[in-house]
Amino acid sequence: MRKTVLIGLDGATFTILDPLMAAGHMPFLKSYLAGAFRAKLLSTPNPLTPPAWVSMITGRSPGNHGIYDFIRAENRDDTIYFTLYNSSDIKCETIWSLASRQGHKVVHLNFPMMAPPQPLNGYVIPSMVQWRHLKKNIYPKILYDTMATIPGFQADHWALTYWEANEAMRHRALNPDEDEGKAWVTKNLNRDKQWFIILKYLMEKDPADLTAIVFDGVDKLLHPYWRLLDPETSGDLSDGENRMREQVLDYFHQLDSFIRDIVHLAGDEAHVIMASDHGFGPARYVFHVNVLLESWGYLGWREVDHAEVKKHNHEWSFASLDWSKTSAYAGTPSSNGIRIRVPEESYEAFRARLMQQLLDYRDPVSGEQIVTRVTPREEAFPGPAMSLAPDLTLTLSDHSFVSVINEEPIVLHRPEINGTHRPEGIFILGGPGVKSGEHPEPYSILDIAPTMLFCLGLPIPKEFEGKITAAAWEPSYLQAHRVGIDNTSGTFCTPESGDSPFSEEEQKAIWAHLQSLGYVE
Amino acid sequence: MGERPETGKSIPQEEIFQEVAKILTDMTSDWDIDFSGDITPATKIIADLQFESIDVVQFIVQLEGKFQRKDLPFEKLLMVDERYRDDFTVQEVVDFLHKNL
Repeated sequence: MRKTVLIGLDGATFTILDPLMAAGHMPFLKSYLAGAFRAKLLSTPNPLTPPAWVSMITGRSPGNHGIYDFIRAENRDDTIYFTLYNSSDIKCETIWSLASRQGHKVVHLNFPMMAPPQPLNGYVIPSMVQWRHLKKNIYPKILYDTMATIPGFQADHWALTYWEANEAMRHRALNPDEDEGKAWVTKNLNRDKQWFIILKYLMEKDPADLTAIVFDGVDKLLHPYWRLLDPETSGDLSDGENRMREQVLDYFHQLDSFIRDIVHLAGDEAHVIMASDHGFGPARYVFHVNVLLESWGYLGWREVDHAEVKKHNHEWSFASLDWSKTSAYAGTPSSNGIRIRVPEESYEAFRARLMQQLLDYRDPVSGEQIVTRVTPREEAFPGPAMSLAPDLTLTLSDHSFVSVINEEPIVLHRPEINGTHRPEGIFILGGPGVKSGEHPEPYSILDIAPTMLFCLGLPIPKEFEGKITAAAWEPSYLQAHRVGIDNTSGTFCTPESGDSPFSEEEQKAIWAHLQSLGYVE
Repeated sequence: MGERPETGKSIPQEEIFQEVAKILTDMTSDWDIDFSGDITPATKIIADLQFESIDVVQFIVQLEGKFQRKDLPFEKLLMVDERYRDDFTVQEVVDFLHKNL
């Protein structure tokens, strides 16, 4: 069987990697790229970790797989109930499942939205699971006990939840203390190292056909320290910032060594894909969108006791709103989305007016247009899971995330530039039959899944929305390895409406197969 | 209320309690907390088992998986007047599930 390795680099961008390689900070990646294929990779409409990684591993867009954010918000009577998305919310089959049920062994480590783990032929350790919940979220369970015996593995350097990461990055942004900064870099150095130790162990002891890992330290460090690496700003740093930059560079030195070792462990006959869920760029301001909506009469704030709110720490991410006075609101920063709560008969007119107001809004200080694009859900997220998406998705002029809290001014210009997500991440492909070079146009994140299946020699389900990256391959290789299309509906999606895209016979066959694997009772 | 999907019969409260207690025991078995002894209906999720918000989320995921239901209105258990409650008991969880399954 043909081996394939996917190295996920959360938030990686050529804007940072190219200068690092040129300056000698990532020598292996530089030499590898000389013989590999590269392109930019376009993320999901809201370039955010959960929808993007899930799109990458399902080959489906968020309107089909149903994951839009870290946080799931549901209208419940007159309130909004917030919880976290998990793997059971993904409405499409993952490439892990596809490969596993067609006889391939699969390892996937540190991918978001993979808890609780779905059983497969291989090993699963999901991302963002607190240490005390890992025992129930590692598959198979024996791997949890085995991890403690892996030489060099230190559990207390490893697990990090969404809340912990979010709070740590907020703290870094607000309190740029050098010692705390070093501690954060060290934490991410250690975390990635633990992931690498586990992966190396599995690749040596029980090699898989499809091996995949995400190193998310790139994202965790680019958010607070973009300015230290961006070629446009990194030449004008203070002594303290230069010391901090050296710390951050240590992360990329280590990352380069991990990539080198993984590629060597995979062997010359394996295909290696390196990809990111989104790119990165500078964030110049904080846009308090809910304060703007309040000024237009669309939103009311709830009186909150901040000490009380802090007890339920997840509420830091949410707006504290008076729902009886709210017809439009942004629930979470990460969604960049606005949800509308008006009667159906007035929805279209309300939405159209709100879209124009947002596009017309100008920063009172600079006169700059802040919201450069407003995309309605049927355009951003078409598909059976569209009803779960925000009504409107905003794109800001610096591509940053909105702020949902009640603070003035509406547009706060950051005293220090931070990093924020950008639509274009990276795609690198290497291995037998791959051309070296750079594709001038970006590929879509939806193209990764069909490309992985092609690497594995498996047919591509007809439901996949992307395409194989054909320009990356030598014509002789494509000729010798024909692309197969699976017309038998090999993947499934769980529609919102209850209407199924499958015939009754197809549904019975799929469910019987899932039962045999133990996915359903 | 508390119906089994296949038979339409209610799930007895005692059976729901046993499943909830098993989940909570399994979750907390290797936690470093002061709570000792068995889970009882009077056990408080936050005060006794020292759950944090993320643990409550994990608990709900376990319950949804155990009872094969993603549509349970957990906000009715966790929230009062649009605010998250400071604590709730195992019995309140059992009552909620019995009413909504």
